[in-house]
Amino acid sequence: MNKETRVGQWVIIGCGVLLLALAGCANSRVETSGESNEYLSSDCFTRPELTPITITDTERNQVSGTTIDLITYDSFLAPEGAFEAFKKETGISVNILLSADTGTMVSQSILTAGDPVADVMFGVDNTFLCRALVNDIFHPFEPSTITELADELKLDPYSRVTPVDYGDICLNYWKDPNNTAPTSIDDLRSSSFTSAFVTQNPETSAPGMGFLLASIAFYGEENWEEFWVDLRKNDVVVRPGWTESYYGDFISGGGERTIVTSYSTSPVAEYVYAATPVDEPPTGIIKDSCFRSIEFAGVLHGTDHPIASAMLIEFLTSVDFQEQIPDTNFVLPANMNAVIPDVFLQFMPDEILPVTVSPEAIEENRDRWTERWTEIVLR
Amino acid sequence: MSYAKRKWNKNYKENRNSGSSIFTLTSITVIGIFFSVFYFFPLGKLLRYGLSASTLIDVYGSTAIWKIIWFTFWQATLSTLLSLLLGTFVANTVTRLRFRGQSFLRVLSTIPFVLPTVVVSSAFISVNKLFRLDGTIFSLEASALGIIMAHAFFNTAIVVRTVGGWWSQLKDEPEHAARTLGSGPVKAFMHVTLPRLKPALLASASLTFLFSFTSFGVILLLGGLRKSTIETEIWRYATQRTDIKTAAALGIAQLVIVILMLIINGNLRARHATNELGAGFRPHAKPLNARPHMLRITSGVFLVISFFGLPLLLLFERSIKTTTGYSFAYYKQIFTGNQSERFKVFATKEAIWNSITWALIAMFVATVLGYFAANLMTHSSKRLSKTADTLLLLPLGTSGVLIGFGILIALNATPVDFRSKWWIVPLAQAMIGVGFVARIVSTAIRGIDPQLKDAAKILGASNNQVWRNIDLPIISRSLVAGAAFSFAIAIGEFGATAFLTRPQRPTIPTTIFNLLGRPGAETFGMAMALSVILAAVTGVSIAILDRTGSVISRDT
Amino acid sequence: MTHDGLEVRNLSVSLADAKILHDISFFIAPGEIVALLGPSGCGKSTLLKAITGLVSHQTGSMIFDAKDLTGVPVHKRQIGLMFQSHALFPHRNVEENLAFGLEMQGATKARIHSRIADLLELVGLCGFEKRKVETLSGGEAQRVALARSLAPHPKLLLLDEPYNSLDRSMRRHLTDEVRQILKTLKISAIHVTHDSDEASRMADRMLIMEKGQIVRQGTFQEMISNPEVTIVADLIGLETIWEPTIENLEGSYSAATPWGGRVIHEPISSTISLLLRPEKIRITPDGFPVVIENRVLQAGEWVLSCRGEDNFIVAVKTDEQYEIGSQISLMVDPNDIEILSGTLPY
Repeated sequence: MNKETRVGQWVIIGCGVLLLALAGCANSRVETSGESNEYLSSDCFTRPELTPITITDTERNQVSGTTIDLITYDSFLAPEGAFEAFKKETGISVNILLSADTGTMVSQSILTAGDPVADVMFGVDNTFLCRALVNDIFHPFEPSTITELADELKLDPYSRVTPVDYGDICLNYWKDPNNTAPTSIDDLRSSSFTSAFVTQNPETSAPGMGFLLASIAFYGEENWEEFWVDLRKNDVVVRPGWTESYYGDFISGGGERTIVTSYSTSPVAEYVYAATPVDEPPTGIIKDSCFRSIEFAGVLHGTDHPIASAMLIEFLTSVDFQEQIPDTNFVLPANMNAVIPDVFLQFMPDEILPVTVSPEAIEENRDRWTERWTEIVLR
Repeated sequence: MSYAKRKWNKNYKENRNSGSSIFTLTSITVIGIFFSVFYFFPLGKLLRYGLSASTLIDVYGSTAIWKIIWFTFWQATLSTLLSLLLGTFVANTVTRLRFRGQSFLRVLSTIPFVLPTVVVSSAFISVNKLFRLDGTIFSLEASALGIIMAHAFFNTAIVVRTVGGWWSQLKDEPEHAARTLGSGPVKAFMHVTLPRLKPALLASASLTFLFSFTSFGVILLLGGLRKSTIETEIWRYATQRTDIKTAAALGIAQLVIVILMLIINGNLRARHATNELGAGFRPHAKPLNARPHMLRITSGVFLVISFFGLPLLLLFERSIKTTTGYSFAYYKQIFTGNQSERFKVFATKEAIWNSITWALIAMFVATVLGYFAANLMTHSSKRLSKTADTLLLLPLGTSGVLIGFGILIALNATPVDFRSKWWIVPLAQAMIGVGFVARIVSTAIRGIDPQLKDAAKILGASNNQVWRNIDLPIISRSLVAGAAFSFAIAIGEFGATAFLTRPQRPTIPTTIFNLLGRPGAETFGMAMALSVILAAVTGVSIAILDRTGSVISRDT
Repeated sequence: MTHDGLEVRNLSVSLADAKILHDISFFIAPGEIVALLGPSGCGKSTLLKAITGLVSHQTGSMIFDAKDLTGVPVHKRQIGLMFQSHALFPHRNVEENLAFGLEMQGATKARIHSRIADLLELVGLCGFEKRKVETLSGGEAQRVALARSLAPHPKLLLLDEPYNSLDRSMRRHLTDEVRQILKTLKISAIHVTHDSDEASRMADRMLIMEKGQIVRQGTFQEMISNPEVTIVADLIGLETIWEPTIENLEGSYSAATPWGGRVIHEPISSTISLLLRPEKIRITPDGFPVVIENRVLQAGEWVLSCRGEDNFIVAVKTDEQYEIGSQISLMVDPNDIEILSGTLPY
């Protein structure tokens, strides 16, 4: 190749890159949302400037025939016929959009704040809540169902998000009549549980994050690091995600480990999805190891269909819908009037005392905690 | 030698398509619009976030980042070399020799390419356990070795297809000449065959490198967070930390390295270009002497079966392993799932159907656009061809997160909001496929013996007829190979599609993902069975495509 | 089948800024077979490509069948070409290769079928319809290539060193056969070769090319008896040619030979070579002494390759048998030595 064409080639590549850059300049509307990582976490629960959505009865009837988009995370499964029922009732069609996981969904929504991809978001949890709120991605709305929802789940005083369900991230153990079962999070440090525990990386996994928060809440800011130092000495295994740890290392999935970070409902699932019917789940829960994860829904700020969206929030928190969530998604309803299926009542320990960490504290310390954790456990 | 080389290069220029300017113009327009709308504009908009002095200084001022860049680069390079080595060996077995079950092996070596990463890594971890490698230096878990082996497992298919397709059309005479001139089989291979395979080796090397360079699942699942690459760091910053600026700044580094690599690769390919495809006789289809070939066949078959077959076999074993012994219960469950309320939610049958139709759409778009793109890559204007060559492969080397996020912020500008339309997914998949088709097909177009086209013209064929009767049959193998890959990319759902917001439409990979997200022996078994079905669907589709390719190229 | 022949006038072709053909002019009568001879790289193949339209010419014109070919695309010229390497389509079998040109003309299936049968009979390959091209021998492949180029009834057939890869007897055999076929079908042809034997068997007339120009045209007989140009003598296989030292003897020039000076009467405009035909040499006891280095039996006569003083090498014909290594002496009348213009290409 001669020199001229080589120069030409570079010129073209250069122009291409410049074009890329110019493309970026072309529309500056969403530019401000790029500043997203520079916020103060104390802004988390300040009063929003947007006035809450209110619905009159005439408006209720006018929205029939509209179609709205509901964005949620990938692994959410819509209960059979639930949104068909909503359509029958209101005339509003719901189109479900999926995003890879909660973190991705929140980041995407922050990027498109004010010009959202969907109308309603479902699935933002208390670990990402503050980040979503400070970036003003939600439009406040207080559903008529609000009084039926458990008070301790209503974290946002301005109703930008409404709790839909909750679940506890807990240590599960394999029941073995020949061995003593662990009863406390502190047992993990003991030599009788050496090489017994598998958990997930909090950077890549929601239950992993939940258990890290549980340990911080349990031991406090002064002692949690010590706990993890001991776990490392006790040969803890860390996997990137829940699936790899539960199905790869936990005894239930064919592995050898007897304790895993999972959900309080996992024993129920073990019972429901057992290959051959069993009398009771083969797994149990360590009651003091739980972190309560709450999932919220909210109307996305900038939607073209605020009324229909608000009506969907009401539907998601209605008793009808709420009673369907446990069976499909193994989480518990936020609506106190919803009847929880028997199988959950039967196999979920009722004396769980989940810890919580405030959304502000999570947002403020998240990066520091995960970095410390990585330092202690992985490096 | 020097004469021959000069002649090749001379023909090489003549062979480039200087064809009708209308066709070129159409190609430029179609490809230009497609890539601008779905790649350059969205990506450009997103990378803008990283373009501030303070962000760049912050990001590149840290030595940790440079360590990550270095690791990304060397693991991709080693993965590429290993894939080339294995792929060339397998290509030799499955295309040069003739024996029973050969086409099965060829398909077998392609299947890993489409398997969901989570399934492959679980198979790798099983292998690790089976051979008790944990704790040794050969551990496949949380090690660079595991990452490299997994990349080779996925990407060898690319090399087998590209190199095999090329090799099957080369004459044997030069090797025979070398042997009679006193070189042994190894030397003859090194000094005669290898240089002649260079165009195909280089073409597949660039694809393999891009895949390993931007691989995401493998790094995360087999490397843990102990091993991070640019891609996993982009993912972590963009999705888990909502730090788009840092992610974009890292994306810039990724883009720069990928562009440099493509330019170097392009120059190497230009230097080693040959065109002997379709020239003269193709090798005789019968093995010449059984004895020396038996060794090659046996070792080749052994490699394919053990390297590609073992993880698949483990997967199959897990799919039929129930608490009451081996049975096909999980398969039955998948197809009759509606009878049981608790599995209805997974819509497994619908998922299989969706996956196939969706992948077919993506394949169709990628193949048509890929053909246009291949014509630009082989255009007589060096400037045009080089630019196309570099720019059209960029999506393969760009973080899926950044493309996905870019589309979200860019494609809302129209009166109609494109971002969540159902077709954005097959289109994004097709965009990755276009690079594939174009790279493979352009290699073949460059390789066509120009005399054949001259002969056809002289016999009265117009440009269109030459294209239909000469170019198309000769490049059809490559076109079909490209189509097979774009089908595989789509059905396996690689890259950007995971980071788009997409309609809830169950597909095989998403259903596997959902099944694996629920505790219980039954869901796990069904996930394994569904993975086997994914492998089978892919295998059958690729076998059908192979057959079609043979029919078009009239090589039965 | 009749046409007005091919007339090429002042044709020039440049490729990538290099002038390959300069001012070429010649005429081929209907049904005439012309051999095109020239050393490697003289532009023979380019000339064929220009006639077929595969490369375009810059100046000059080509009239074929009373029509100007300029601007006519390759596939509409109705000129056939047989390639050096036969260029059979690897993805089509014999029948499909032969059918190609007819398909392009839009011939009916039945017509194609009968034409293929005729052609295969013509080239002596009956029953080869379904054979794959990779199973053909070199000779068979060339016959298929010939049949393929004849299939669409070209009015002019160009043959580009088609027998290069074949053995001598196959070559002679095919040459005769092809000539027969072309003459029967009354097809004009240009046959490119560098073998004068093949050229004389095949062609009615010859064109000699050197460095992109036609240096001589005529029949084989004319060229044998009066080659005039060194390259012509060399290409048609005349011996012995050498470049002499020229002496200037007060106004007249003389070329030095072992038998004294050959006076050059003609004015010298450029370089010259000398030609000494073997039949002009007598073996006598008192001539120029040489040693026999090699001998070949040619058409019942011995051709001796001899070396004398100053490494002078000369070919001698004789009926008698001499041993290699023995010494003889040669006598020549300097006036029997012919003067040729130009030098040898090597």
